[in-house]
Amino acid sequence: MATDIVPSQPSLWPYILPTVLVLGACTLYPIASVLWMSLHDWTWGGASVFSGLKNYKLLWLKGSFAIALVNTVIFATCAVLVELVLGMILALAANRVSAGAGVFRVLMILPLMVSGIAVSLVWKVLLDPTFGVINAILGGAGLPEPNWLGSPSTAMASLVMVETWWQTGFVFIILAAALKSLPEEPFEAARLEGASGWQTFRYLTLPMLRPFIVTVVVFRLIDTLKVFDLVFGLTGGGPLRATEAVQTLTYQTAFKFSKFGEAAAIVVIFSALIFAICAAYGVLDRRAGGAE
Amino acid sequence: MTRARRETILSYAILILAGLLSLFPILWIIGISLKTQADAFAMPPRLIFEPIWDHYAKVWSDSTFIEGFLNSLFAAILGNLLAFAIGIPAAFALNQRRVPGRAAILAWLLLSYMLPEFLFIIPMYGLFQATGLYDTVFGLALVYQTFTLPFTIWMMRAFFADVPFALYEAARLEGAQSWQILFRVYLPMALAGIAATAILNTIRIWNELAIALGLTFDRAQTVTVAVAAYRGYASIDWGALSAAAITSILPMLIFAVLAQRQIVGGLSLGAVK
Amino acid sequence: MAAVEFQNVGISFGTVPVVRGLSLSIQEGEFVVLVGPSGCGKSTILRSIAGLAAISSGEMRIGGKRMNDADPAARDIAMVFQSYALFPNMTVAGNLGFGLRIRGETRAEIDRKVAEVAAVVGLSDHLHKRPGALSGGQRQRVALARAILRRPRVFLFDEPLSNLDAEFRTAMRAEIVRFHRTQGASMVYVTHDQTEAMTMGDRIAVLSPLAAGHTANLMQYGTPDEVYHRPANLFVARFIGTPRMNFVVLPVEGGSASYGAQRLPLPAAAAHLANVVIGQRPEHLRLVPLGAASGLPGTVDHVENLGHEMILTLSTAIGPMVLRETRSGSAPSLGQAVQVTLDPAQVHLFDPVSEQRVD
Repeated sequence: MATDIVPSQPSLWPYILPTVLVLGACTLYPIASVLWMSLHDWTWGGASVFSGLKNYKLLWLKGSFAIALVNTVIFATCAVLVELVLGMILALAANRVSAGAGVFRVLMILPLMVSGIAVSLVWKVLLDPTFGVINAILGGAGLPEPNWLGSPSTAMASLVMVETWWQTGFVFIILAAALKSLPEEPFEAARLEGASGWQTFRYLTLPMLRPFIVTVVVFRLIDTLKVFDLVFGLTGGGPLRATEAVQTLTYQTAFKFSKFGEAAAIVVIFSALIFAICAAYGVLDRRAGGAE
Repeated sequence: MTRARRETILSYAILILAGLLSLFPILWIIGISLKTQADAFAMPPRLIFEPIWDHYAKVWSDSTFIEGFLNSLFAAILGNLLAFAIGIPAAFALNQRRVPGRAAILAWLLLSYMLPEFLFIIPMYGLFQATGLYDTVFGLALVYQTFTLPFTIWMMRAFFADVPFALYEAARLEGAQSWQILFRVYLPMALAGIAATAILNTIRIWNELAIALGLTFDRAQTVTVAVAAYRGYASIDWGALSAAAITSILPMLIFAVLAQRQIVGGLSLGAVK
Repeated sequence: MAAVEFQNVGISFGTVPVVRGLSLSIQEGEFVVLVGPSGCGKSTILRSIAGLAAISSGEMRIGGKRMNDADPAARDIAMVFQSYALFPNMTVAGNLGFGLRIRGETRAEIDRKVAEVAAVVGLSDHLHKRPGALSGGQRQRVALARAILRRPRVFLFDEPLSNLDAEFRTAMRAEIVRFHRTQGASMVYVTHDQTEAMTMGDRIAVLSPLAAGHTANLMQYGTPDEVYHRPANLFVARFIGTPRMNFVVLPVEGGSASYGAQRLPLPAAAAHLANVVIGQRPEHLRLVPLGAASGLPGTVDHVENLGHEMILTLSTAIGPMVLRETRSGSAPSLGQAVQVTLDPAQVHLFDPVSEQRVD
């Protein structure tokens, strides 16, 4: 909620100046720099030669970028979908109970507090095909014991599972808070009319939660598209590029192969994608009469 | 059984299940960090065992790890200081309507927060090497402003917006200048917000990997980079790997338990913007 | 020299005019009330004196000096906000001493002045408390004390009683009036409650929203007596007085109007109009026995029995009439046929087109 100012007061621009300077330095320079880099043939340590759109063409021709992009998009959509459904179920459940709310809240946010790399190491141990406890439990129950992270067919699913364990708490917190902020009376009226649980959810809860769901989805979508820590720690992009993500590919291209020009090109394309999503959200938000 | 009763029991069941699933992996790894190799690999898994501290001893005597811990601490402190020093005045000013370019700056902050890390890492890699900021905690804290600054400004702006504007007017009437009003009236009323913001910034910085990986080498390595180095132990030494992971997340877990209300409040506020 | 003077002042929010053509002067030591319905601009006018709302045109002077663009702290005014605007993180002493601290006075001076003013308002025992621990009345006194410390030429009050319970309000009203008598400075007081306006002000400024079709906001500026007994136009006549004045539009024939069977000769100024608005306050209408020569027949629609008096709503051939009579004997029953007459000495005449008073 913005407020008015007292008419005779001097401008508050000096208060914003440091922010503008820092933001400018930290964003304008990098953007200009990667654009420049992406147009040059440049390996770290060597000279840079202007090459126009050669890097972009290379990305187009080389399969690795396309694979990484497809992987990342699949990962992001699956993860966000699962997190949304689970988070919603948990939020609805938490809204029904009164006792022990604090305990549940703490337990739900615990995974969120763990760094991505630590999460990766934890699950690397748990999902070890031979000695990991997950497979031990499955084997004990007579179920198959897959090579979670080592097999191309299950690697992506494993990644989504780990990501879900890690970040569902975030969706839960937002939706639980949103649920609590909803007015009680419409729901009481619905109960009086004899609406079932599902009907109440579909016709009352869901529409009222729409703005929050949209916000959460956008946040999680962008976050999962940017995945790095999990892939870096769990699979390194393998097996056979099954889990290669855009940012891990960027890392490899820049720091393993020292091809800064190419890495910059990846960054440019990827950043444009993220920007487009933000812009779309901004437009949607404005259209729905959102706050500024 | 009434529908209400059924729903309540179902809800409890779901929450308990979710709680256990959240907790189990962490507990299990804590277990491994305290078990001998034999106990850890035992099939079926052994739940009762004699704890050993060797793994922790090994990790804590690893100087790189200790350094990583301290570097993360300094990065968090420095990152917060910078974010507050720059962000609080901005949040105060942006809370008022007639600031020119307000919408543009807010949009810019959002973009900075959302854009991929490597957009910053790759250019800064060269720039930092040239300016001597490479492999320094200060350099990290500076790049971290791409997300701590926007977040701090959003949070503080929301808390400042809760201060009734009549207080600003009354203070102006008494002759106070804007900066005096900020420090004497707004900040004291927003202390809870500062705490919540600092906690959430710290968690973000502490857990950050990509930027630290790209912009440090050995002196300024953070705890996440140090833990990443233990990936190699995945097939050799689960105990050490687990001890390293647990040690690195312990401070944040303690935070979570002690400050859960601020964390939850801050996260919901942050997303609802 | 007036304490506050407005000369043809206009105030707009963006392109929307809120105040237009305001010319008003407040004398030294006067207690002036700005009253009117929501949207009439009374708070805006008050805030423009304080410097919290910008003046778009015209001139506003405080103590003879033009103050349109002056800093609020430099205007020789103090303001009591609707919410009192006390700083919740400071003690009462801290709140009172805030302005002194900003101005750089010494610790000793601040403590002395704060103690002094706290004694004046009776808050000496509460100096160490935070506003949250005080009652509404105590908070008002802190706000008053803070204003006193500024030694202003003019005190401004922005509806300070609207957040209080009804019974509290009467006591607080008396406190503010007492405050004015002891302080002696000019006071400008904004309220939407006309009872407050009538009981507290030396002079009342009745204001109307521009949206109601008026070219300026100020409808009348006079003493409570003037405003009540000689309303300058229909707006003031309608706004002041409760229950509201009765109005009826009657055709003018031969220099007089007919209120039922009662003939009212009109003064020269009104005689040439086609129609005239007759206004009479409920306490001046009289019931007369049925069948009396003069009077207007009607039936009782509604009876409000207030114990010491009763308020009757009648429906008549020329419209509803509201009467106020002291109780004597039993009240008339619903549907009962009655006859009502005007008191010709207490009639207010208005031109229906210009809405101005005619006499």
